[in-house]
Amino acid sequence: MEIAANLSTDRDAKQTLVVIFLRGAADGLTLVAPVEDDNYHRYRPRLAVKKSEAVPLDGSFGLHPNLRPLEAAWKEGDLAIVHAAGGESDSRSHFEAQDLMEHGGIAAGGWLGRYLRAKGPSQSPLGAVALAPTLPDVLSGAPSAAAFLSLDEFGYGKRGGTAFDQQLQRLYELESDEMRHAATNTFEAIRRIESIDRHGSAENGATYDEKDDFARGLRQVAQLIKADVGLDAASVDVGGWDSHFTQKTLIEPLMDRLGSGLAAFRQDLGSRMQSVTVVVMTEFGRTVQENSAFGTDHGRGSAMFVLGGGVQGGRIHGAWQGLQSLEKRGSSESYGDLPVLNNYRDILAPVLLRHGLDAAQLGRVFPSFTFNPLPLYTA
Amino acid sequence: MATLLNRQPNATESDGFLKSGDGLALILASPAFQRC
Repeated sequence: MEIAANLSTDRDAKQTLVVIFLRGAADGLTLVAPVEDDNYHRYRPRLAVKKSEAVPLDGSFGLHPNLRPLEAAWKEGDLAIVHAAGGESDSRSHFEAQDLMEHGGIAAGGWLGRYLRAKGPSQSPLGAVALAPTLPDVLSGAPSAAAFLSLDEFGYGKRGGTAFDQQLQRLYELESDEMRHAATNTFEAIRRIESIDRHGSAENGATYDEKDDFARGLRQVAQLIKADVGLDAASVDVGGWDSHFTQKTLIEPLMDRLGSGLAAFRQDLGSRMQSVTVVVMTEFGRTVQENSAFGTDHGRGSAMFVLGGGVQGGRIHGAWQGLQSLEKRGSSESYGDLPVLNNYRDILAPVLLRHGLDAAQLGRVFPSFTFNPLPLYTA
Repeated sequence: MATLLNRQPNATESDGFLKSGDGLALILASPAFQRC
């Protein structure tokens, strides 16, 4: 008796959430610079993004010029930005802050894992993937999740071949329980992955930088989405944002990669971006005032991006109170943090609601949190 | 095979072992071994 794989072929029914974590505490005041604020230029005489060079956003803020590839998404209303975003922890430790943010507070498992649990078991072995050597904490507790650096790792490997595949499928066809069901979906997922032209051109004229592992990761996420393997969530990291020294040298290439990778991903997916949301987040921001080493130190608030279908893009969401009246931070040489005015959960909440959760499920994803979700989507 | 499966292989497993081109990999990926 044949058992049919039930990976969806209904493109409209499948939504995918892509979480990009900027590890090392990315400087939100460089990514999205408050170029009209005189205090910004006063606190950062050497590091501030010049108003003349910034990509204008809403009259108050400008994107760093290396993020110019995202200008089209902003203008076309597909990119929303929340500034002064972050978590409640004041530890300023990368490890602690990443841990808390990936777990969604003090809770078992990662918030993305709990979201996937709340959605129910995935029919696909590729319901959740991390383009990473190991599974990140954010996906901890997911019903099923796979970590790999290349789609080439997902398959029968060198042993693959008609005889091997046939014999393996024959063994699983003798099963009568969930294992047969899971295996059938896995064989179908492998078939769909193998049908992908992994080294062919991206669609809609998109160009990924094949030398950049972030761009290659996004390209593979796009390939999985287009192959309809049942991808619910993906996690991709960009590390190296800890910029205590010579910040420009460190993070300008990273912003290049972030901007061009995201723009290529959006272009490649075309109309399918309507069912995809990309969230870009980091563990905390950096001090408002630059330090003596042409860098910035660990701070509090940073910026988050939400890119995708249905978002009320082309605008900065959430609270913002400017850079006036900053207080000196203890014995540190640096003045002031950008305070966290917009909790990351209030930014993720509307995204998860759009991706199928209800309010009760949301409460289980982020337990012990009183929500004040930002209106990122129209009702 | 019996060592890996903790029992004698059935006819399908024995047949697959010979025909798959990589019998050991097949047994390691088989449902019986996955349940061990």
